[in-house]
Amino acid sequence: MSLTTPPHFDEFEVSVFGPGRGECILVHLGYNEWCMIDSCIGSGRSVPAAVEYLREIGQASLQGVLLVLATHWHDDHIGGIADCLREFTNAKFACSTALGHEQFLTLVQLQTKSLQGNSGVDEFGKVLNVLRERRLGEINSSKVAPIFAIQDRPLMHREDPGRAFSATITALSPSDVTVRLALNKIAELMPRTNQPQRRITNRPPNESSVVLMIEVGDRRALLGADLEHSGQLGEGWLAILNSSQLKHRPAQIFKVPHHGSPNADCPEVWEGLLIPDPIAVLTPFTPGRGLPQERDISRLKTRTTNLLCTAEPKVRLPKRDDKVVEKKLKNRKRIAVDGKLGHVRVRWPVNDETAAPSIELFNGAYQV
Amino acid sequence: MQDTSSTGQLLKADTLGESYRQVDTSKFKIGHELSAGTRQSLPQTTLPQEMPANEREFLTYVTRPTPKPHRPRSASILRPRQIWEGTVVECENGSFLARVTDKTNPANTDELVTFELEEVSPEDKKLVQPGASFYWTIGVESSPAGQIQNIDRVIFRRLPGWSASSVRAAEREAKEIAQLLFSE
Repeated sequence: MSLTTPPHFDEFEVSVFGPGRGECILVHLGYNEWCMIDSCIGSGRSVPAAVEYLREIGQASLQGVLLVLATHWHDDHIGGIADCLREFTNAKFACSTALGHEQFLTLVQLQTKSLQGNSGVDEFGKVLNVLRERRLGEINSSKVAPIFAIQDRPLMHREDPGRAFSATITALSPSDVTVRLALNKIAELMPRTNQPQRRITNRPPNESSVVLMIEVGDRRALLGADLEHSGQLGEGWLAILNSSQLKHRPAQIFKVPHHGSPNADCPEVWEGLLIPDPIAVLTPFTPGRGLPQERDISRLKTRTTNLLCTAEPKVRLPKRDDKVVEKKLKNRKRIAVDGKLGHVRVRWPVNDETAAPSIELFNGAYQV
Repeated sequence: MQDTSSTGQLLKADTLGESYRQVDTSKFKIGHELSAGTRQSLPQTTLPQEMPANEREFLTYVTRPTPKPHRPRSASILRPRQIWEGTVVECENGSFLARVTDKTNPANTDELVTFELEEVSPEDKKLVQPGASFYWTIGVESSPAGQIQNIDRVIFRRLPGWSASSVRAAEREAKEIAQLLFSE
């Protein structure tokens, strides 16, 4: 099927884009209603991947986006999310409860007066500006107040008389314990008086990431964000396993958490929250040693035969025309940050129980 | 050192008419070896007494040096071939990892680059902390004596510290944002 063909009104779609500046998941909830989880911009592009895609499949889709959710504030997840929110005028914004705390907002305000760029905190500042424009302009004023995600909170439920099936988005994290941990981490990031101004860079762990279960009819997707498996009760994946009421409704599609990293791998999730042999989608992360590593791929292949990846983890470094510069750079240890943006698309009719999901791979995405 | 008299002539010759162009300046001692920043102490131009007053006035004007930016004699000239802005991501074991953004060609993807702490000048070393910002330049430096050297240089930005009042202002704004945006 062509990339530009829109989904049928009764098709569940999970489109995963990555790794540009960030990563992004678009979910079609049926009846041209969409939600977007995180955001990314392809290398050398200015328009977020989700906006480009929805424009390609039909301008009406832009108005169909009802929810934009940031799983956490790291810039490898939310590049261009404010531009998306501005474009999706019917969408509400959602994020972790921890990010609604005044201490985080103070951090955002300080950052907006200091070094800009390359920090997810900047992007949050832009999101607040979009919400402020809506409030002050009295446009979409019902779409101003964010929805704060916490464990087991339903974020959206669609069940109209005109719908043949319902659609529900439920936050499975963060737990109360992880919100407290995240707030401690935010407090550590607060600058002290006279401390030189610096950028706020990504800091592990990703304990307050928002994991989602999206149910459209009987089709379900578990979106793992960057949630880690600390092994502590009440934190990370164990908190979800201990409280989830969804064990009897396992998901068929899984967005593998934290780019396949071993620190996010929890075998009980595969046994308790997913069907056997689910469709699993990975987005690589190029900085550092890169994720997933070969051993991560091997481990994941023991869990499912349907492992898909949006792009190769290794990215080619840009060449410079200046030979002197290129010669100097050869002596440096360098890694490209933004990879080639690939796209995995899974579509699955909701009304037809016998229908199989169709998997399509674009721009270098591949089956592992 | 430059002969600024010719620079001065170019300023006015086009606007003052043909008669001035016909003046044979080679007869006159109108050139000076001028150092930048010495405009105030410029010696008077020596002009022949037989020269008409208006020409004398003009040549005095045109030989006045145009102001030059102050540059000490010892300064080297750096011609950058490539500039990045970097942010320190982590520091360990005498090196640091930084995310760099290409300022020469912004279409290029950001890169993570490892630098040795030894590449940083001693007075900048204390600035190497996660989140710190610096400029990385690859270029050519010409010394006053004309020697040329390829350089690969990291210079950290010295940004002001956060004041107590700016932190308090941010806290106040955060409260206002919460009141404005977080209720229906």
